[in-house]
Amino acid sequence: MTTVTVRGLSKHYGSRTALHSVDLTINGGVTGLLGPNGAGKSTLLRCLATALAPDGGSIRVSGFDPSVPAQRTEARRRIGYLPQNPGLYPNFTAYDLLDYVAVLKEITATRRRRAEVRRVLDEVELTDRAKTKVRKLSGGMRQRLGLAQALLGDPALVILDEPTVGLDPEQRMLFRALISRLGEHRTVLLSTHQTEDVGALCERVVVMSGGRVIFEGSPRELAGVADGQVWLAEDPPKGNSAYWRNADGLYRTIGQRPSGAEATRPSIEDGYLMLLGTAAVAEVIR
Amino acid sequence: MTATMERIEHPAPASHVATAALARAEARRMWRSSYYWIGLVLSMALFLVWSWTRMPTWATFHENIGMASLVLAAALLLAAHLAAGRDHRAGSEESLRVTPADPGRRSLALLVTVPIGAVTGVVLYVAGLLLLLPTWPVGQFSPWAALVVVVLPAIGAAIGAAVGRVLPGAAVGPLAVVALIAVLFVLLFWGQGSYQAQGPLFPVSFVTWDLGMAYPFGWHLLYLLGVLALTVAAVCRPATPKTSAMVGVVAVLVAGLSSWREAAITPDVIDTTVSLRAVAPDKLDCRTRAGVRYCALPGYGRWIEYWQEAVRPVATLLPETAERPSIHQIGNMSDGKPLTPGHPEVIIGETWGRVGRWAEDSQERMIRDYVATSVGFLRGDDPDSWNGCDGAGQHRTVVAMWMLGQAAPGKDLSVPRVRYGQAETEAAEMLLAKPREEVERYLSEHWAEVLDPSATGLAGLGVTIKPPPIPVRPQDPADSQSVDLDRGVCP
Repeated sequence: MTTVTVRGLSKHYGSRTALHSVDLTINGGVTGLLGPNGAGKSTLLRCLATALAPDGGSIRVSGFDPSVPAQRTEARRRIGYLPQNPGLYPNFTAYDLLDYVAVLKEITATRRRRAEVRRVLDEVELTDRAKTKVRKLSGGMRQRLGLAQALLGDPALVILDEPTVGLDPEQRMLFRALISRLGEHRTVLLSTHQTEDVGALCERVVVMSGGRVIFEGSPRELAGVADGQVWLAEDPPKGNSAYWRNADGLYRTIGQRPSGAEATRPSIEDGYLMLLGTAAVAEVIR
Repeated sequence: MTATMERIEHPAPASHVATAALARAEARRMWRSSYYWIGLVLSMALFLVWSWTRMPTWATFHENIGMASLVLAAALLLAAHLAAGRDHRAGSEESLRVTPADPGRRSLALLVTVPIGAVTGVVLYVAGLLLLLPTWPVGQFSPWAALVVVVLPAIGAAIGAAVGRVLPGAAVGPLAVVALIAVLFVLLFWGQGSYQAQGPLFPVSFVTWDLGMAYPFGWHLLYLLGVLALTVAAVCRPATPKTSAMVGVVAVLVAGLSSWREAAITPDVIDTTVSLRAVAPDKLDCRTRAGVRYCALPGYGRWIEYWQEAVRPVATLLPETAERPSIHQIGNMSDGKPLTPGHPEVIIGETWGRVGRWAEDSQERMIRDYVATSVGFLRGDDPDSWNGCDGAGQHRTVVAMWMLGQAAPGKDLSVPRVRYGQAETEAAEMLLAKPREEVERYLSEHWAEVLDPSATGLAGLGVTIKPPPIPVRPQDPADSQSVDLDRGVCP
């Protein structure tokens, strides 16, 4: 399994700091990267994918240092990357696009390349759309095609930046199934806003906020952050700023116990929200 | 969805193998490019439009195919620019940046568009020749001029790739084409006023050169190769910066020196002695067919059959004893001397119609000139025979009109550069109404009389027009005065 090691990684966009000395180690399986907008998730993924050079710190992908040109190429040979905007040429057919990317990924032998393109098309269930131009594919199909190009060459490290954004529930289920199976023999790192995705896919979760890693652990441990602080009430709780109705018509809230409320088992989302709330408070105190 | 669970590690290919695979992929994309095919078809169509009507000479063929290859070069520029800018299109920059194929390798792979351009130039050249079959260019073939057609599309592709690597925007390709067209216009008019019809930097040589003159096609090709090397170096810069810089400097020197050399050996005025030496009688391709001598410029021998076809109907009308004018092809320069002093000849230039109206016009002009010369109007030893004269009243005018009516039935009976009146027309129509054999027999028996401008040789056939007094022709052409466009009565 490919190991990704990050030490003291920092990145600035002008005066804004996107990553604050991030330390992280990822060893196989599916790791989910959670965080609000602007938390630094995409910046971290772009640095790991070698699309962006960090300003400080170090990265190792299977022991290769992307800051060294020769080693960067070696690292890239092991990475499959699906950015938020995968950039698919509208006038290419799905097959031609994958064939071209396969050549860029050094799959030089024609027979092997054809087989590889067919394999990834099959994996994302686009075989019957192989000859369809990209511009004629639906949004979900394009997202799957983007994933297919990331999977070309069977990379050891698959980096997916919000792969389920814009997908309908059925397609999200398909994606989850694929990603979870990919993670059995590869290292998969995905960023998402969807805590359900994390629960369904990830053995490990990293939560980022303000360019820092504020949590590392299992989904169960993330849910455990809100242990004893999640409540269900029949009436809207007074004093709690965040609450919402669940399917049973009860009001769910986290934090202090509203009057008449009963404790309930926390979810990953509860833990995530609790964590972000704590971090926000910490920011204010600091 | 299904996913392959077990990973199989494949060894990375050698860099040159990966680059070659990428080059093959670029070649496949180019092969499918609509710009490529539109450019090829458009250039062929333009070449055909420019070349269809006239018999090809190597000079005109290379001019036309050269200009057509500029259109192809523009199309290849657009196609190569799109290929080079693909890394930055549709938001693909981030996806492609993380592949092992770095910008240097992608630039090197784009160089495949250069040989594709060259091969397409060869295709255009060969297609141009085949499209003109069964006619084949005549004159002096220059392999260097031919290679220009191969190099120009390659330059177009290289420029497209070089520009696309630096300015990948989709609009930049068309803008580059517009900019280059503007540059070409400047280059085209730069050399105006010198003997060469265009500046030495213009990519296509318009050959207004005379036979025997130095053709600087080799230098011109070297200049274009320098430009090609410069643009190729620009494409390779991301992969091999130092080598590209060195190649670029050498390319600029080669291009500069070659164009300077080309300009230096291009004369401002024609050296007539050299030009005339090249078209001297002993250099001409002369063949005698059915009693008529045809003399073509070196390399133009294939046209003799076309001239023979035009002359045949007139020559068969001439009596056995009649002097049959020769056909003498001249170049841009001519000293006006006949092939054989005293022997009549028809002068023809370096053009001949190929099909349709152009071919008919060439043939008709040859018939009329041959008729007029046969009866003594357009004499090669008369320096003023290019000017018009009055043939009214002369019986040879009527004979000429009768011969035209026989050789070119249905056409008007006008004799070139000879004026006449209704009486001559009526006399000719009267002769044409008679059996051809009767008139032929009569002419055979009275040929010398008929040719005499002051005699009434056709009286025996019922022609009653009276010739005017005929002026005495000066014995020495040097004694002739400056002649007006109209010489009065034909001498």
